[in-house]
Amino acid sequence: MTMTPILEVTRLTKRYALRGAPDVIAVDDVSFTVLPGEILGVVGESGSGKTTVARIVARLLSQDAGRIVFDGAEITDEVGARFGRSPKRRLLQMVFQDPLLSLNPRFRAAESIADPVLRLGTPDERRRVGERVALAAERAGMPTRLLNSYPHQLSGGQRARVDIARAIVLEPKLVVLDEPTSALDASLQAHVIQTLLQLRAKLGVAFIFVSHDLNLVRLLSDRMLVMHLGKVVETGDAKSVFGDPQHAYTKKLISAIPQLGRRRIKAGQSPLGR
Amino acid sequence: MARLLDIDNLSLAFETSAGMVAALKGISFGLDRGECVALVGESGSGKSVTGMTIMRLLGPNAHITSGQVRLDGTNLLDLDEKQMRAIRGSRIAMVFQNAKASLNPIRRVGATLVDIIRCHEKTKTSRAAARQKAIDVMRQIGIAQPEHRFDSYPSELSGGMCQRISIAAALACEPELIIADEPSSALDVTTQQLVMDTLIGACRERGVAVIFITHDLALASEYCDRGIVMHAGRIVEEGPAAQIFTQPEHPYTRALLDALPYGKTDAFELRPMSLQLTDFTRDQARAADGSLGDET
Repeated sequence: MTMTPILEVTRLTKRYALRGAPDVIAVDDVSFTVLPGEILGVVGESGSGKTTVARIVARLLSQDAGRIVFDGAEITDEVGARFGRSPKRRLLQMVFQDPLLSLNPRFRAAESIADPVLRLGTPDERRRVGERVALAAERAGMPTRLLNSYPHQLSGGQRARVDIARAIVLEPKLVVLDEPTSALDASLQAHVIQTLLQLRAKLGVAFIFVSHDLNLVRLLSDRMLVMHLGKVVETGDAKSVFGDPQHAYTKKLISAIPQLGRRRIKAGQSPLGR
Repeated sequence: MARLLDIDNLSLAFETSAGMVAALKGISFGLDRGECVALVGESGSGKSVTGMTIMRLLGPNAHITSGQVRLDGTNLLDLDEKQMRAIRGSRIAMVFQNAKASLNPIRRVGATLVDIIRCHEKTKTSRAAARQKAIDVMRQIGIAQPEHRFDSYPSELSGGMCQRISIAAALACEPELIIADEPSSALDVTTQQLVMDTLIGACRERGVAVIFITHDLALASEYCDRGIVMHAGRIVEEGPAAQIFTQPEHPYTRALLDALPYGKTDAFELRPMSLQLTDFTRDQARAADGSLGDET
């Protein structure tokens, strides 16, 4: 059985102009697909282009070349406010790295979660916005009693949940998450990725999960895309990429992951080579 | 000989609109010269507050209710602000999580280093000598082209480079102890390794003791001699890093390990800890009705 991908990205390229220097090619000829209900992990260091890919897919940023087909419709030329008017907008949502920056500080949690419904929902959904908010909050594991709080009154983990609830409130088909757990401690990270897996099981939503944490991505995603200097250097089933990396860069990333019980520097020893 | 740092039965509470919230509940630990100790625990366990208390950087709403923090026998909690300023930077230095935010955005990083050196050195240092010293420290910790980097603004540098500048700033006045509060948590794995190698390597070389605050037990086990596990303002376990992070005795330490992805093959093998564990207001309520026990 072959499934039609929910997202098809073909030969995506993005350059940033720099004053007095050659352009930076942030994304260089990147192609990939995401199947319905699939979790695709995108990993790489800072500067590898993974966030740029995420923002282009979420239509917050335009590309210089390439084609994007989402849910059977070409959205290559629909960016920003234009995509905002597209019927596909509600089906493609994003979760950002820093919820303190991505949540409106003047909105209570419930207002933030309600916002996509009020802007993109049908008249019927808008009338029953309260129910939608309560349901999304519950699905994201956000306690109802905290829905009247402002972002600054919430903990990091709770803010991340508000962000996730806002992204799923319209039951999208694809959610792009850009480092949603990087600012959280291990226990909260575990909570969030289990919540994402439960949402996938319940709603059949697909995720693009951008992260530099290979160790976490390996547990969450079905497939993994390793990016280096704007290019995809390795792709494949997440567990086999992690267990048997082929590309030198992937090997380097994996070897840099700290290991329990491995000593890197002992007393009286210096790695600085002197 | 006395230990470099001795913390004895330290308790601290914050005054909040919801009443007093105990953040540290009688913690005691010590540190020898040149020793590298990891302070681990989840958010809210009190590890950062411990670091800030040693440096006396907490605001007026923080009340120390008991205990001593002795540096070479001197109780830091007895010192006035002026005496404390002579300790900060020159004897105990700090490296923070967000290097970009801890460096002045409108000053060149070299100027910041020069300020620190001139402000904390015991003898008067000329601007030119301070500049040379700053460049030397940058070179010693492996920053390429330090003369060139000297004139950069923090916004022109990567997160990893900013953190290495902060490490240079911490080392510049040859302190005896560096408190590093999640110095690499905001960085990706390869940069994290570079920053940790730089920090711990330079401290080992100079015999500087380190308190490394982190929630990453694997990272702690790679770089530290000893580990101290904190939970809800108490120390629950302490021991050699090689042992405590691989064969922990205390159920809380084991729970911390169970929440980490190391060695797991499936996301549902991760065991997130109960979020109620560090609900301090609940703790206070129980304290009020006299049933405050050890949380399990």
